[in-house]
Amino acid sequence: MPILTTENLTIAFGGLRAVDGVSLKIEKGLTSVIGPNGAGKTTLFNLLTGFYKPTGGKIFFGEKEITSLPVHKIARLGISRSFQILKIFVDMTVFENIRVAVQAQMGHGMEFFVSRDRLTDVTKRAEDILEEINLASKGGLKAKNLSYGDKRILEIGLSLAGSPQVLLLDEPTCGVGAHERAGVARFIHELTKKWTILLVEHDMDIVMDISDRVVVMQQGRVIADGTPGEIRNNDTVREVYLGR
Amino acid sequence: MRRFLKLPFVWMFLFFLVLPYLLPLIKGYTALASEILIYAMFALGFNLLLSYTGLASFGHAAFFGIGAYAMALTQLKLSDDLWLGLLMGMVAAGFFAGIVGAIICRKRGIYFSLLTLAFSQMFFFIAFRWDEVTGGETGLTGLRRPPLRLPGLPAVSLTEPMAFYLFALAVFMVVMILIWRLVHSPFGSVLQSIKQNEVRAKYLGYNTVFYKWVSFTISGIISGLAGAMFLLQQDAVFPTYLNWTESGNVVMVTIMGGGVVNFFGPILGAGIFVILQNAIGAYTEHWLLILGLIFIAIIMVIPEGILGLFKRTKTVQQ
Amino acid sequence: MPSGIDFLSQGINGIVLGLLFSLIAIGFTLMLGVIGIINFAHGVLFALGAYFAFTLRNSLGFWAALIISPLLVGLIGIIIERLAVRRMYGKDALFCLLLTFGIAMSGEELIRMVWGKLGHSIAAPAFVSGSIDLGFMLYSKYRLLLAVLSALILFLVWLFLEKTSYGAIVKAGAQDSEMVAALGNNISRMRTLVFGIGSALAGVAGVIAAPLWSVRPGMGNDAIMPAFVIVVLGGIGSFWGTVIGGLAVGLSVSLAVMFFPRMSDLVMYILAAVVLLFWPRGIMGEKSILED
Repeated sequence: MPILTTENLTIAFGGLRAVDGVSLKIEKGLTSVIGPNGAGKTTLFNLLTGFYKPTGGKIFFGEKEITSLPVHKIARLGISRSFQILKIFVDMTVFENIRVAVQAQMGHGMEFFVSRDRLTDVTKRAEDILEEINLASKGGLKAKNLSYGDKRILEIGLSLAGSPQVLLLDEPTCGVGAHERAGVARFIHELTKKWTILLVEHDMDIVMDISDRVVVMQQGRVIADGTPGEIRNNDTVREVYLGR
Repeated sequence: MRRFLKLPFVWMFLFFLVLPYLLPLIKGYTALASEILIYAMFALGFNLLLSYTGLASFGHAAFFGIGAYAMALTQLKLSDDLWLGLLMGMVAAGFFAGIVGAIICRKRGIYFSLLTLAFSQMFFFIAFRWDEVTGGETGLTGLRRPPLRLPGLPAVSLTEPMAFYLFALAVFMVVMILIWRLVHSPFGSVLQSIKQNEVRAKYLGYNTVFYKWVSFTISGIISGLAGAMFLLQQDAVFPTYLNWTESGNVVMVTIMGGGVVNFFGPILGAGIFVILQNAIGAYTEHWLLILGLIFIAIIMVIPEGILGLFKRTKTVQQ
Repeated sequence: MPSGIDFLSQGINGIVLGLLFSLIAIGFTLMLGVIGIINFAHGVLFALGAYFAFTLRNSLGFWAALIISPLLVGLIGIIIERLAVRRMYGKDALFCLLLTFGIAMSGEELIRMVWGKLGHSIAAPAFVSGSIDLGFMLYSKYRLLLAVLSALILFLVWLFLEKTSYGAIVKAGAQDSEMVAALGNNISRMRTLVFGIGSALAGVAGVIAAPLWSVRPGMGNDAIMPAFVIVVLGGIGSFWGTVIGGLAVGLSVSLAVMFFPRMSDLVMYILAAVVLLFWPRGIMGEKSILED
């Protein structure tokens, strides 16, 4: 039973088919989606998470059809994502960032007159996640004062907080400088032990190193799908992408 | 820890207890102090939306005015019970805020502000034209302050300015503490997250539109309560209460005091605004000119507001 | 029951009024669409146009006032932009809104100080006084002139936006941030220019409206609110949206005067609310950076 399934998923903006008839079955483990800029990777993420409504095709989460559900409902079902452009709550502390994310999963949103400091289950879970992402010592810092690499990790931490069944990571190393890169890569690698991940990433070393499976997209279509070894030796892929 | 947290409220309560005795030093009077409290309540409710949800409403005077009209109409047509009047003020304002909010809470940024303004003008003209109910341009006048009745206690007259002031202080303290708890509740966290990054908040699983609607409605209810209290203070209500300039004033008051960076900012802003209005009004009939210039100066020099200024100097020192 | 002729005459009134409303709103929407600011002072600039004309007409006559008043208002707009508004660029749009709110507040009071609290009615210029016989009815000559002038100025704005290279840049400024970046320092000059033009347009609308509505210190409010509604109706920064929105407001106000006179102030807000349910960004609106 695949975790996520798309059937002939398509979206057109005007004349441009940004995602064009994509049928995928995402299984447990780490699947990477690669392809040149404009191949439709981020658009695919936006479709899977309900941010865009597809012009055609269907999406299933397990057996449940989730096509055209709103973003927050899909998130609640257990599909979470991180963003290429950071979307962290910059004026909150690192702890508060994680806490508000945990709250969502535990269903503490509409409580008006309880002090949020008294939700011990939420606090506990938030602290666990801070440990897991190695930011426990920085919990009291404002998110905007973190180093860029740590912001990247917090970005992923926010999507972990809801204990999702599948995690969509959109270029988690985007813009991370050389000195912090290894740390972020190691962090993602750690994640693969516990979570099912769909990864969009430009750093081929990371992709080939840690993926169980690689999907190659070009101009909205899937042109190859296989293990890292198969993809490395695929002629079409070499031509359009790796060999350029 | 908990005692420490409550300290600002205790100090504020003590300050407001002596305020009526301080105001005469600057040619003020007790009723002015009540006005400050009522305006501060209005601004705090507005700030729940502006600083804690990130929605800049430019039509909040409508809900203030609706609260005042509802109180007046309850007294004229139904009963002159104090509590019923206040309740009706809140219910009516909350009802209309709920409807308006349902239409506009999907909108963002300037568009949201434009729409709040348009809707508030709609209410303004209804109040202005519907003579049979609202009294039209001349409003509803000659209302009275019903006595305060609490179970098991004799009725207390509120006609004396000081008696009304103490009542307003009690209401104000309750409202302030409730709003304080609200912004420090889990719900408050969600609102903050929506303000800082709505897309992410959605991706965390929050139905952000619904949260914004709830915040808008609560804010409307508080504005309505403030309006109903203002009716008791003035014994009259006019369509001008709903005018867009009044909506602009409450935004200005909130920003001026530093509401964006400090919970208590709107209270300071309300104090300054009411006192300034009174003081400048005593010297010149062109007080709007001075007030406008002060607004311009504040936006240009200290856009983060007066309490924000303190924060700035503090950060610089560190 | 209103007769066919009543209906027709109110219809014509509506179109005349609609053209005036479009003219009032065009400068406002230009600033909003191109610079991304809500200019609350638009109403005061409109009132200033009317008051300048009121003062100048006695000595210089209608046509000179029609040219000079808007130029003066445009100049005031440029001064406001250079001294104050430009410091708000890049900040939250709310700040500019509040700044111009302060300007509107003091501006209205200044008018009161200079020209007095009471309103003045202004006669239409002699060559268009009285009525013209349209065959089926008599119609005010000044209203016709007003319609022609409004349409003419709107046409000039359209020519500027569509047919000049500067207009193309102005239009791009609203939509294309790369184009704006390519302009570099010129963007600052472009914004000043747009603010100046927008102000002058408010001024000219004031000059034209003065004989119809008479001049009062608070007359700016009669201009700024329709401008808001028209922008909501037509879509932010859209020329044709503004014209359609203006005509829709003009017609609905005129027809309401005939059927439900007491609702005439209200009808445009109802119209805006209804339109919004069906066209979330207004009739001609596109997704805008202003929504973020």
